[in-house]
Amino acid sequence: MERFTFHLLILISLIPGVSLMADTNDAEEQVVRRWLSTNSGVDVLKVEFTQIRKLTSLKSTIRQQGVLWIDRREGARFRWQIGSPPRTIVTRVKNELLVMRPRSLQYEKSPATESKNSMAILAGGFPRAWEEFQKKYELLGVKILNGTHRINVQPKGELAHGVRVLTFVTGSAKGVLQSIDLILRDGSSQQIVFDKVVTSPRLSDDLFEPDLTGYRAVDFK
Amino acid sequence: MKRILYAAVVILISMMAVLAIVRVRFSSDVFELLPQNLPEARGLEQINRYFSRDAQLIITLKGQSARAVNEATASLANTLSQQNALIGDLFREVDIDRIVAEGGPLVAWAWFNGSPERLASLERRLASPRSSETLEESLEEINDAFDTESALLRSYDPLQLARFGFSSEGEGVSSLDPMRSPSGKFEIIYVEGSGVDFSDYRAVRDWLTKVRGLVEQWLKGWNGKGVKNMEVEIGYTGTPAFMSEVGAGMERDMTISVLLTLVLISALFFLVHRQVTPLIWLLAAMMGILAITLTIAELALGELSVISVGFAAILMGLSVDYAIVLYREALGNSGSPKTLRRAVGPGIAWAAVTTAAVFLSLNLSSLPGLAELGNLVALGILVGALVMLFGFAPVAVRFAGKRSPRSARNWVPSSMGRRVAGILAVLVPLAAIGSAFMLEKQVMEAEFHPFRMKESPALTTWDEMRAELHGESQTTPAVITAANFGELHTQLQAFEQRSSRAQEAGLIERVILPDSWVPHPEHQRRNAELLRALVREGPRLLSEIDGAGFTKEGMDLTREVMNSWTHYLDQYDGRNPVRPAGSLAKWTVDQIVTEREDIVAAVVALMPVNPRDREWVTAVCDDHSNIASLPSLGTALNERIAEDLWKIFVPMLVLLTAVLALVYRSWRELFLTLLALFFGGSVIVILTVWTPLSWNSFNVCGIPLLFGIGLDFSIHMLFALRRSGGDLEAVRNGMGKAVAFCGLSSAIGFGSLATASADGLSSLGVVCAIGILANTFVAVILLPAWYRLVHPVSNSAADIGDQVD
Repeated sequence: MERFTFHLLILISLIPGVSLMADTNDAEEQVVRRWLSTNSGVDVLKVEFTQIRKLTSLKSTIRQQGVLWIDRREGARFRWQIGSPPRTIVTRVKNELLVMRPRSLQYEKSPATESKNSMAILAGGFPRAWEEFQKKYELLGVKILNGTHRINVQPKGELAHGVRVLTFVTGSAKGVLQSIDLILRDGSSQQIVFDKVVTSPRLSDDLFEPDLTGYRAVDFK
Repeated sequence: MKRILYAAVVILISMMAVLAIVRVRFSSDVFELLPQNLPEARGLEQINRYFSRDAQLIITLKGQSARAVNEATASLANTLSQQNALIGDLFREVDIDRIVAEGGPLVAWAWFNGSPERLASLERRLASPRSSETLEESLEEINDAFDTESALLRSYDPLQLARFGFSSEGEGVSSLDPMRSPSGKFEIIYVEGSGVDFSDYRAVRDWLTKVRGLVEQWLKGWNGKGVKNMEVEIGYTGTPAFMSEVGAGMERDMTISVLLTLVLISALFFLVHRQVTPLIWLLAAMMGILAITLTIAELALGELSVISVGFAAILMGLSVDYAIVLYREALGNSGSPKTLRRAVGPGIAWAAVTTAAVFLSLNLSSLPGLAELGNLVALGILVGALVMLFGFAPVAVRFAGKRSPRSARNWVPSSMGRRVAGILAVLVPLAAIGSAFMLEKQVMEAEFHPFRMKESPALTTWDEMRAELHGESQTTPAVITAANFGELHTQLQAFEQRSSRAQEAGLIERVILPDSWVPHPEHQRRNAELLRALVREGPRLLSEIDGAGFTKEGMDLTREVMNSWTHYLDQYDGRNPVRPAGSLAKWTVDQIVTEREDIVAAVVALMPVNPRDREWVTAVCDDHSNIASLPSLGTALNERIAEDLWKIFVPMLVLLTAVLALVYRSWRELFLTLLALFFGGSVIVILTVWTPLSWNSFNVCGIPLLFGIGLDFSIHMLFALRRSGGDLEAVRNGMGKAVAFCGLSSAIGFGSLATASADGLSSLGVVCAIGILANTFVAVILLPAWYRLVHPVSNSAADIGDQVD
């Protein structure tokens, strides 16, 4: 984590976007811009995370470990997987979203543009500019809590339907994203805590285009 | 004393007319005005009859963000739901809370009504120990789901009861009738009204005013908070909004067109005759004609439509002509009313009969709305002739003698020079032919809908709603009807086969059939026993769900489905299919399938490749299947009206030419009459090409009217010219004035319809007014000059002897 922060600090110092922060007096906007600036210039990313789901209809909390890879160099490639060994793998290459279930050897392919769920936030990568942020989210407010900034937003468009509040939690000191909290309309919630972030890791094409030999196409809906 | 008596009579007649107008009932139903032998017209009428709810208002909300619209919709829905006296129920986009709370009856009914094979597979899935495996599978999916929403949905439906496995693509209700735009910035609320008779547009208008008041008050509070980006805009559409608009439009049309006609005709009469008292009597006579005709029309028709409402102005413009003929005759020859009637009565009677016949010919049109208009004008014309002959003739005799010589003014221009008239007779038709070749726009407007209102906020909101909610994937509804649900399924299968062939032929992109939502007697009969077994398993299944780690909320949907199955089985008598219970389920299924007047009907959604084309319509429609497609209706109306014109107009032209040849017994007069008609038509063609004037499936039916009026004018002028031996000055001061006045008053009557709310009536008024003015100009200014061209010497004594007026 410390190494990631260090890398980001170097990157931040090199990119012109940081100077924009001085243009605004709005404190909340500055917090957002600061976080966005940490995303600028980061094209390849590997994130190890813990996903915590608290659903109203379930007695216990679900906790899962997962890994996320984002490669913005070639049309925003993306891979998300959960469980070890992976129980669900989701990849996005160009405009195709692939969902795989290794245990049942099933998969589903669909156009990525039709992805209307909250996790499309990850699939599309994090915003890097204020304009991009405004296009995707409506800023509801920023709160300071235990050394973090909680950037509360409402996703725009179809992502907003089931989501009451989406929160990007960034470190107060450096503005680096630490977790994503999601509160749904029925009161259920999901938290994705970033355990380890590696920038510019080496990635193979196989990672985003997994072998489907032996898998059966199904409709998971 | 006499003056007081006369004033009382005039006031009484006027009051009768006002009373008749106020009492008249207007029908806001425009679909019955379309030709019912077109599948598009039948489809629209059936959608309106079976699926549009008289009491269902649609309120639209539009804002800058999804959050603003979502919160505003919730707030407005909450405000309106407290108005129990005005509002029976509210529906908005179904969210997870409502699905869980109210979706049970719908899910339960879908299984009961679905295929027995599907229910058997569910039964196997819920049997012990498979049910535990199903629950484990659900928990795995909740754990492993990529997106939170999928996990959430599954957690509320651990036994996967909401997975029906629809047979048709997009059959899910939400895909047929979304209530929120994909961006979330546009949302609608269905408001079911209560407390008034929703078939009475006046009651609907009052109800709507109250609801609008409530909404506007809420909007003021919501937008007045000053929260950035949270403001919303409101729109109203749906049946109550349309009814209120059409009803108010008809009242306005009737009032404005009648008043405008009366004012302009009065001004014209005063300018020409400079007398006030006969003018007052003339107005009283016209009001009397209106009152009598309206009363007869109400007895015969019951209600006036958005089109027939225009008859009053046309009638005013035409019936005044008889008064003018009587008055002019009384000016020239003093005598008793009886003498006057004997002199001009036959002429007026024949003119009334022939004009009525021309208007009755509109019955040959395919548009029932236009036929109704024609019948009313024809009736009014006959009433008008009687009222003028027996009511106005004594007035004409009494006041004509008092007219001062100063008031006799030569207000009609002289006829044109023979040379110029001759050149025009050649040039104008040539220019018309040349212009016709240069015509770039379509002769008939492609997508004209005669009964569409010119300014309709409800229609604008409706179009916006369709664009926002459906975007480019807008579908066209088809209505399938049958005597019972069993037969309806047979018809749906036949429709499916036809639409599959149409899809293969590239005529249709997509079809969404509602099979699963149509009550299925055979399925329900076969499913009943299996459902009883499933209900008995209910306690065990709920216990297993609890044991698997789901909360009470996680069990709610399953419990509700079990309860609903019990309810449906209690209701089921073994023969008649059960319909869904619960407001959400009922409302959802009622949008797709309905049962009324011994007919059951279902809606199918189609996406044609080319909506204006009619090939796809004929490919999928039959006696039980009709399409509610406005684009292809426009094409169909144009085709049908073009056929009508050829069918009616060409034989009419041939017959009239033969009759005219017999009447005139002179090729010159026959030629002049045909030239006058051709010239008038040429003027219209030139105006069509070079001005915004355009033709459509409605105003094109004015051609026979113009033809009849043009013929009438030229006959009157030619016989007058014959009688006078070609004395242009005498004809100008006699028949010229009468024809000019008649032309102007008729043009006023038709022209006042330009203000009408309905596009068709308005365009008919404009075209007829312009055409009548052209005919008047030709008859009064050009025809005398042409007469002198073809009759270089004075007419024979035999010609002079022919007295026809």
